[in-house]
Amino acid sequence: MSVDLFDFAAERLEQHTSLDRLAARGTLRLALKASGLSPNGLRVDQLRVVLERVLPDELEKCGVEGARGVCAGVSAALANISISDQKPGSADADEIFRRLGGS
Amino acid sequence: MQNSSFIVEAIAGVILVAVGVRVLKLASRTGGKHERLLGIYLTLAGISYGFYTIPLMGDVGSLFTPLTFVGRVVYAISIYFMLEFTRSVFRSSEAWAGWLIGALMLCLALGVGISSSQGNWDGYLVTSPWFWCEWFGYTLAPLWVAVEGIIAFRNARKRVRLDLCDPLVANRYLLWGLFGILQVFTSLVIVPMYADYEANQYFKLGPDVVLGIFEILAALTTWLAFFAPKFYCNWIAEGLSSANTEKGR
Repeated sequence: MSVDLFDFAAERLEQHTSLDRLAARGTLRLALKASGLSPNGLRVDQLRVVLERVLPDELEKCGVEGARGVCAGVSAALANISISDQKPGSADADEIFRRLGGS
Repeated sequence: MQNSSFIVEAIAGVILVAVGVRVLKLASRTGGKHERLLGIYLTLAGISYGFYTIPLMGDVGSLFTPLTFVGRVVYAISIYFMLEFTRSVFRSSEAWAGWLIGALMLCLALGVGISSSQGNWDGYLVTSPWFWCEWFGYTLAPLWVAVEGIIAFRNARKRVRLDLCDPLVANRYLLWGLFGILQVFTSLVIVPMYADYEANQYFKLGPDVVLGIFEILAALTTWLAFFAPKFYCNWIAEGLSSANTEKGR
């Protein structure tokens, strides 16, 4: 199964919480923004960190109960997917600027 | 530049060439397109500073205008590599970025081409509309660099807190953004400076010194960004990790 990472995570949130599609996508977007990330070019390792450290608080603000468990479930589901062609993201720019330091 | 700050501009040029050559060496090692684009930009920009300052260092007679013109053309060409580097790092999948590069290079080509064909080879005539055409080209380019650098820094700082970004990389974005801001300031300073030159055929000391300061600071930011000494790297890494510890309390 080849999926867009953002769409995948947002759909899982919608399925496992009381949030509708718009709210699920909006909450995920807010969590990404607070993490300095964008849906474009999002990587699995980045999404895992957001699911673990940022999204639970955002979901709790929306009144979602058991937010940590929901996020852990989405994170576990990431192990079984393959990612569709991605646009360049922050990780690519980070890698370029890391190289430019000569390291 | 007829005072003494042309020496500062020459030093800034040498720093830019040194950093550019180092980045080009890195490009030859990694084969990276981005390193090549940045290295070419910095090297050409530094060389253009040389062409601008050599005529001011001694009596070059009739070579004054040709040397200044070569500096002007080399600088305009260098802008293309600055823009292409910015696009390829931050906006590689956005069509508007390509159009922006096209528009700014067109401004530069028309500004340099038409004003030169009218006899304004050194590009110091601010009363000419083609001066402004060229000016927008070489001012909006670093403005874009500044905007992308600062946006990238703001986002990278958030990622640093989540251990998703190296603090040195975040700092490099900031320095690159600062470089863009300082380059914009140099473009702003040259307007009254050139206006005065057009009226009196002489560069006044005040704006000349300010220009020199901005140019040397801009060159130093590239040195810190892409050639950072060990103590600076340690300072950034320690500073950010202690800031994160404070936040975590």
